[in-house]
Amino acid sequence: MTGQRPTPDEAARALDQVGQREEQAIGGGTSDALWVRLVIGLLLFGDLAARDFLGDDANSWISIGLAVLVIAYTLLLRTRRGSSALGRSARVDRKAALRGKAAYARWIPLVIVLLGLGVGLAGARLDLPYWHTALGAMLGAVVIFFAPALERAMLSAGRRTQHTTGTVRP
Amino acid sequence: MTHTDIDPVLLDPTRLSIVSLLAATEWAEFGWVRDSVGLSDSALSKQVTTLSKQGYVEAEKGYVGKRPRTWLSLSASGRGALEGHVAALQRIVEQSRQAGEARGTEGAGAERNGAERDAGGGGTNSPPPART
Repeated sequence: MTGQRPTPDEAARALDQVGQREEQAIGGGTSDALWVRLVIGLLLFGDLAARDFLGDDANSWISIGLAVLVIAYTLLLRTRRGSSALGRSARVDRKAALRGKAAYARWIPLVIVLLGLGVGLAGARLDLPYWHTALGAMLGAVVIFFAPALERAMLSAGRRTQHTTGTVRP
Repeated sequence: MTHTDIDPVLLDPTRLSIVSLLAATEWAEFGWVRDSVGLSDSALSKQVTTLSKQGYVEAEKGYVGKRPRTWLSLSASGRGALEGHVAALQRIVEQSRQAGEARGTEGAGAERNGAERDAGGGGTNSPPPART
């Protein structure tokens, strides 16, 4: 650096560095511990499989239990100690992750929810045998094996960081 | 050229890395920042102390079970300083790019004028165009 003023080349490198570190934070701070993903995946599978094998009474209790666990999980994630206990070393700033995102990326979670509802309605209408169990196995496997990658992809999708230069270096 | 928003504290690449990393998080564990930036405990601790003295980084200590943990977060002033610093860096790059484009345009214009003079009967004895 020349005194207190960086040269254009140094400034460009610094801007690249800022962008890379932000991407690194978004990519690296998003995964639960494996045991947490295993528990969530198995619970999801159990909840859906129960619809094929147990009566309506049992299903309603299982759904209530699952809802309580989901709320507890969400609340734990909002605290530093809770997140650390779940294996998350950092909490990504959603505003920073969304800043500069392409418009389509904001709709990804809604699309996923709509897809889930669509599959549920299609399964109910077609009345396929054990389709809840099959769906549970698929969703459980996705959570256990692909949840970190999915979360990273959602957070990084279409992201165009404001801090990278995007200009021709001098 | 104005570079009033260039923050001397953030001119250090290591400190800029730490602040940039924290800018994308609400908070992060000390160990995670250490591993992400590739520093030793003591080196990160020193940089965090410097950033804390400036009011850019806040550190909170606590326990998870029996394990001690330190969580780091970027303060509002730290976030503002980074934004100002990044904007100043962008200005430097942009001004340099514009200056480079202007030089390129001038050079192309001078070459075109020279070629026109040669083609216009300047002859082989005419002096070459003065280059600045």
